[in-house]
Amino acid sequence: MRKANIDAYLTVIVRDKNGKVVYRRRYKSRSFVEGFLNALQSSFSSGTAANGSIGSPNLVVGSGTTPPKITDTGLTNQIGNGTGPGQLQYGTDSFTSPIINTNTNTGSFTWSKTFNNGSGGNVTVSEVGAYFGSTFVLHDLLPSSITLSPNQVLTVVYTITIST
Amino acid sequence: MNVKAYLKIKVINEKGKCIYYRRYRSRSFVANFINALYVLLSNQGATLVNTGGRTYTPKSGFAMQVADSSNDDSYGIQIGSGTTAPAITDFSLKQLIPNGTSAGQMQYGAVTVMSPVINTTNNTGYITVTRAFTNNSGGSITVSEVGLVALYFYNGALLIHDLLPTPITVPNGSTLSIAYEIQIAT
Repeated sequence: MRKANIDAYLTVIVRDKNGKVVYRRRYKSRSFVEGFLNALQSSFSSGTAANGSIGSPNLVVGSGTTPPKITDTGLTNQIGNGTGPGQLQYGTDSFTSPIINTNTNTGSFTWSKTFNNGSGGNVTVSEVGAYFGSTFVLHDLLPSSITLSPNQVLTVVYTITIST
Repeated sequence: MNVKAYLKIKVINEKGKCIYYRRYRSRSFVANFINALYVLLSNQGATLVNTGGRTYTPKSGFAMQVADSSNDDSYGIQIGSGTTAPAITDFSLKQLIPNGTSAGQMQYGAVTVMSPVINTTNNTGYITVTRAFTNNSGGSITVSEVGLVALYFYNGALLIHDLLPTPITVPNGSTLSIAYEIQIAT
């Protein structure tokens, strides 16, 4: 019998300036970090059922190559948003609504963002992470770094799943 | 990496002696949990089903409160006598054992949520949610299912539903302690 857990999968897609997919990989995400547990604990123990969130979602990419640790509070070396050398243009975080599969007793939703290389030079991405507001919750080192040529667009997708 | 949940069960008799202890891997996060997590992350609406079977659609919401006071069986950790295998669409226990001291009832203690414990040596961490149930009904009571219910956006929302591999018979005067331990690894 399957044992329940919450999993996250990381999909990275690179498209060239014509929109053609030139690279695609899907990995099992490895690293929920301390911030996720703190957020869950805070949510569970809250003394009110009030509205509100803990801040905007924010997927980020970086060039660091240090293996993630549970105490990480950010990427090792986050790539800045912009068109300067070594920068990428950050898109908007988007979500798909949860899909519940009653045949397999599984459910999932996705959280994605695009990163456009308008820097005029190559930019290498080797790590991915995610924030809830200011709380860093996920950190993944890519098994293989991705070098984006000028005008290529990287799409990062986290798929979060549960099973019953 | 993933997030896992474990269920720890202990029975203490009226003399304070532990007469039963088991630790299981929890099997069943249900649809409300992924929907609530989606709302938390995205600030967009998702449809949940409360423990009464009514749908509702929070647009945002941070607190999935499971901490609860004693003598309240409306949320927190709940116990039941149902024996149906959990499904992802479950929104309540199959047969809730209510709070009280009458036949077939147990007294619900307060729910506590412990602060996270982080182990930097093996890059793991966990939180624990606990509740005690005392049987002062005058007879034995059999518990076969356990759930974790949050007060979420003013409704009780079932997040986890577990059928125990082996039902537990709690003698009169004994206390059943349930703990959900939710773990992460990096």
